[in-house]
Amino acid sequence: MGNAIFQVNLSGVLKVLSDSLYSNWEVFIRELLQNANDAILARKLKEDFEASIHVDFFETAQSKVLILKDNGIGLTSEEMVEFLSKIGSSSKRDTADLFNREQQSFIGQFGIGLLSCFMVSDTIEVLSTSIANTKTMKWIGKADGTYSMEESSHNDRVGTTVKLEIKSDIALDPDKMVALLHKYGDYLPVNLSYSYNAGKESFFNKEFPWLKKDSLGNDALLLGNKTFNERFTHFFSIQDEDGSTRGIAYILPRATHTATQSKHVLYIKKMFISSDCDEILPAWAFFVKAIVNSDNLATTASRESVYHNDTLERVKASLGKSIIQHLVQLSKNDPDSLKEIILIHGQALKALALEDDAFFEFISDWFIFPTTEGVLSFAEIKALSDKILFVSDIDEYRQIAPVARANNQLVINAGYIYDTPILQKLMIADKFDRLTLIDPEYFGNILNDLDVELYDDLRARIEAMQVVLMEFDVELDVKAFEPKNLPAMFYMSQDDVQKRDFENIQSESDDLWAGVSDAVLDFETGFRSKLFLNYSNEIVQKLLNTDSSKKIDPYVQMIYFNALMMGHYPISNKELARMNENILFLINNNL
Amino acid sequence: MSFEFNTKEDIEYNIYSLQYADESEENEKVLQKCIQKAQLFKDKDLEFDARLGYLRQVNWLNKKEKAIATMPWLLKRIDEGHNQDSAHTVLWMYKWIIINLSDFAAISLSQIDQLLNDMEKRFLDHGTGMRIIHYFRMIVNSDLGNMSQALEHMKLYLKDNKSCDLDDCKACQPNNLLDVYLNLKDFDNFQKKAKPLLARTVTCKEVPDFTYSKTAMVNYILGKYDVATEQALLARKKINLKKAVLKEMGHLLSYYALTKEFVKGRTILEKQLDFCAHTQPELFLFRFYLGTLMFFKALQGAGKKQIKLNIASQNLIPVQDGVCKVPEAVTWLEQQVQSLADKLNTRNGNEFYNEEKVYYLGLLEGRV
Repeated sequence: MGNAIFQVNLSGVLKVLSDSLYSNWEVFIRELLQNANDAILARKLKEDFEASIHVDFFETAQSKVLILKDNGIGLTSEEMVEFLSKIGSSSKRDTADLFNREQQSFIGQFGIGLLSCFMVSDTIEVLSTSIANTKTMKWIGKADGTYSMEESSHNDRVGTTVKLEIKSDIALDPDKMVALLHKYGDYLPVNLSYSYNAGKESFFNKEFPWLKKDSLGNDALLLGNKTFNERFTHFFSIQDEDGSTRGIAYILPRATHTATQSKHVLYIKKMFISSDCDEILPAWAFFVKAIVNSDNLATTASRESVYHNDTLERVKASLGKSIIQHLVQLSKNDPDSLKEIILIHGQALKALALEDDAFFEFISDWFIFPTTEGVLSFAEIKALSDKILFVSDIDEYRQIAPVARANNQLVINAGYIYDTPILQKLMIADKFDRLTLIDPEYFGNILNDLDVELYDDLRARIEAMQVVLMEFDVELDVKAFEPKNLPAMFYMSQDDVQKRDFENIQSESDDLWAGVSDAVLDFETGFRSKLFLNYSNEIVQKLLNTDSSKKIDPYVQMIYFNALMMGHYPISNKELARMNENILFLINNNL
Repeated sequence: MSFEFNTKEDIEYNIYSLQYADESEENEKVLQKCIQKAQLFKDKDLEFDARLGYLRQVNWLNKKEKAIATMPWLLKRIDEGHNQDSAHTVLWMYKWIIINLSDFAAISLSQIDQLLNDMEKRFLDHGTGMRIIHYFRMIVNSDLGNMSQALEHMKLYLKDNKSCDLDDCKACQPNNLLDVYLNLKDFDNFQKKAKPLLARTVTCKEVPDFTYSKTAMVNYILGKYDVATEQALLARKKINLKKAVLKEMGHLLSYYALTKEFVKGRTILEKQLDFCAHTQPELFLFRFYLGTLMFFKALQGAGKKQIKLNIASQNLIPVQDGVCKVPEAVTWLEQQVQSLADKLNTRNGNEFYNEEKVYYLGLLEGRV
């Protein structure tokens, strides 16, 4: 058997294309407007004329008819056969242009847009008079895949009229019609008018705020507030390198999660494409909402999303750069606004700074961090302290903070998202050799030792306490530090936390698994953690100075358990059991 | 990527974010912290999910001892009737544990046997049938050097057609069979089973990337030098050397020793040797050090007295000021290989790893 030709069930193909390609029936208006707009652009290449599109919607109790009329270039009978009757043929592309879509002035190029009308009508009637031929041709396409064409009995002026008898189950009414024309037609560069039942005409022509001669004003703000249902206060224009993609960026007036993907409104060649576009700005710009029109981006076949290519990547990077430039300008011209933005969107800006060295260079002083002296900008922190310590873990910070405060040492809590990487980046950049990453052991080691004679007096008691804590692998040290109300500070490394965890699992396992774990876990002997008792604390002093005959085990252990919990470290079953015993002992002792 | 640990939602988000993430030290630490936080929140379900994620990370980071130490907690939780939705996942992870038991010389034959029986019971209760049991017993026995038992289980595994939802993927199964054929020195069947993998008709995340080092060496032994060269190139290109891949790189080092490609061999050493300092499984170390010993013996045979070697760890192969003296390295490596072979053989009750050492060094000396 030689080469055969695919058999196509045309009505099935039409149904698939019209029903599955588009997300909802409303887009037929977009496709009709787009075809009309492209026909007008094509005619403008040949002659100057007053372009217009008019939409009529006729409604009776029995029927609804939509007629869309343009005065574009029109179609000859041959073009009707080619472009209306062959799926995939378009007057607006040839093969060579397939990979160069964005270069064209036309919005459409797939030759399938008219099919969307089959979602709302069983027949599509097209009357068209070409600029090249005074004859008016009538073409009728049906959803069953057939069409007919004939010369019309009366001659129209140049242009095309599309008539659709709207199916009864399509909820198209005058209000919906107006809403759809606003959505898809507001910014089209032609006079777009509309009449209901041949009544008064209404017009839909608007201009993007960023195209107006004056700087962005109230209309830009209103557009943003209405579009995104927000109450923006800060907005600015953005554009790509050659100005082919332009728009407005609105800074969200509230904090958003870093994982949030910001949705933007995208127009391509002034035709609405999507209010759900998350691809036009870089991911780090999740604190911004944008309305953008692009003359250099292309759409996918459904025209409901943007086509992924190098141009999209270039545009995305350029618009990102545009946002950065604006923030840099703010730091010079309006620092209060920048502070306000950083207060709300610090996380996003920190994420951005980690990606962009130039931005990092400019913004790092503006970043704010929680510290032992309150929330401060990095510039303020530098001014306050010669030595800047930071802790990468919130739990460790909680332990350190009271000691640091009492010892007049500023410590940054860098346990929140992006803070540690930002400070580490500052360390690597070697701009601030005053920065040091610490853990609780740092303070334990720099706190004041006891006087040697005092230590010797207490030595026997300290050693007895050490014995008490041996079963928990805790090394004991005694220091004197502020604040006085803090009896102890505890430190355990993450490695040791993990080893304790494995030992807990092992202790709760059956003999087989306990034995296997024992065979593979090679824990070095020695203390796992360190408890710094504070001799300045009254309770600790009492404990260290009690008569050696007095049983102090429960007290020492309770100080350890307390420090453990204050540091948010997990408590083992053994520790929990001992804590319960101690509580009962202490209650009993005091009754 | 940065993570927060303040609320249960943060922990859930972290676990979810890392569910399909690549393995890294950073991700391991995040999940370790998630376990700790879940314990503080006293949320066992959250802890369960964190431990699942943690086990996956450490297993594929080749930190097998941590994976083994984590497993009993998950099994116990399932046995107590909790987290039944994830029972299948736990059984799937159990396979990772079983397959690595024999790599640790400190795990006794009795313990391995008991855990194999435990796995068999759990798998049969799950409805797997015996095929998968024979498959794992084949692998474990092969690693234990019990080649007659490995062969017996291999026959039963290959004869049985009953597949199950716990089966290794269609690429991993033949790839694991290749290890058994390699231990058996059955190169005919090795070549047959390797074909679909090398033709990439069956592939997975690891296969055939992890197959090439074995096939390169076998093809070299069989005198198919062009094919071996090509596969060694792929082995080097496809495997990420930023994590420990000691078994595979042991094979590749053996190959570079045979071909006397010293620059390529040294690159492998410099990227993998440091991992030995933190690696416990003796079998991994044996394979890597045996390849390294062959490499240094080849250097010695080529008249090289010393070689520059950039490694960070101390107490490994003797290196001073970035220079490694070849005779000293050979002595050190011979001690290591022998000590590891002795540990494995003592546990296994056979001489398999001595025989392996003799066989591979014999290849280098042209005795095989």
